Amino acid sequence: MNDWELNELLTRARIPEREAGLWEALPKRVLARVRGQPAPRAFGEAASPRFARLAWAWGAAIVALLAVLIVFYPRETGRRERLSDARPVERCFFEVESLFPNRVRALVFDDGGARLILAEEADVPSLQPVYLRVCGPNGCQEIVTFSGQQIRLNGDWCEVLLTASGQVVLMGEHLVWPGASSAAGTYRVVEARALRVSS
Amino acid sequence: MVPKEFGSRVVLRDKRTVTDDEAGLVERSLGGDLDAFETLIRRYQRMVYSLAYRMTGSAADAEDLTQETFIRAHTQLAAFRGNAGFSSWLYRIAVNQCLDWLKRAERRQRLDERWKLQRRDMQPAEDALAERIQEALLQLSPKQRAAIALTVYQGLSHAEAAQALGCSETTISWRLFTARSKLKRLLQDLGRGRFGV
Repeated sequence: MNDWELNELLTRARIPEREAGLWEALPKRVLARVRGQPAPRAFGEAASPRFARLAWAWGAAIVALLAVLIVFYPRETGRRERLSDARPVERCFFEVESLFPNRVRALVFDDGGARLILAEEADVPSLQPVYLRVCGPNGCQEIVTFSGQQIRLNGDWCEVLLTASGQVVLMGEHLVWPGASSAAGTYRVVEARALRVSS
Repeated sequence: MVPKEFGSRVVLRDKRTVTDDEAGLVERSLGGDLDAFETLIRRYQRMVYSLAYRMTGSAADAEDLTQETFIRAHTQLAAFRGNAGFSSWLYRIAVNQCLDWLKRAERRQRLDERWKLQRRDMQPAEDALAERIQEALLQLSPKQRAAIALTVYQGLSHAEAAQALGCSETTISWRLFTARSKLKRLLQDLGRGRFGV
């Protein structure tokens, strides 16, 4: 069953018909409840002092937290260099995978830092991990994922596959790599290789 | 124009931008004009009910949640800025109401009981498909269900659904991907079986 067929099937499930009177009664019931409440505040009207105090308290707490993070966040000057050599990425991936067995879909490193994409259930098969380095107008991304997973590149979903000879293949709607169409996009795959399982 | 489902009918939904008429109704409602708010309720009650039904699987609870959504919308009307469509804003309130509702454990239990009761009232042949599909939907996590309800049943784009659920488009895409995988697994016999899709 493909996505289109699934949608078709889902939309065939009708909602049980309600009595026509419901659509007349419901607005009246809502209005009866609303009538007892104060009118909603107009645009730009001052918030209640309690709300303002709460907002200030939250604001101050967030600023304090940011200050603490800025002061104590470990300097990452060498991150770029480390990332150019995939070993730390590899180690990081295996460490994360051991923490969340069969839940890691991908680990993505870019200028914004590291992002971990986890499955909601432990249903990710432990196939061969794959390392990808993809560069586009907004910088480079390094992705470690498993063969058979889908990743998003520049808004397009593509499937990461590994051939029997260990060649990485990316199959997406607008991207086939290695292949001619990979050059047409605004991004390019710089490196793609299978990772060693033992680490 | 995107087809939007409600019950057995398919209606066409206008682009989700605030029309002058809608902005006027909101402004009048803010001024305390309940007739204007009633017009907004009448315009969107079926849409909210449909979403709530897909989320809960219970007609009675969907009715309660529709009512609560409009009451919440009235109290929060000042927060509606008009940069998104009124319906998108209302979807967000409705989805949050449904998710809050589903979070409560005792209600989840009640949902199962009500669903079983409701099933007994359905016409067996006519609603067998609806029953199977709603059962499958209820096996999704609430957030996956919300993603399916908004995109498949309400016809929202990923961007609009992300706005309604307060998350990124990537998150929506993942939720849809996992939800679809699960639904395909649960409904695979319908794909080739007696319903002949």
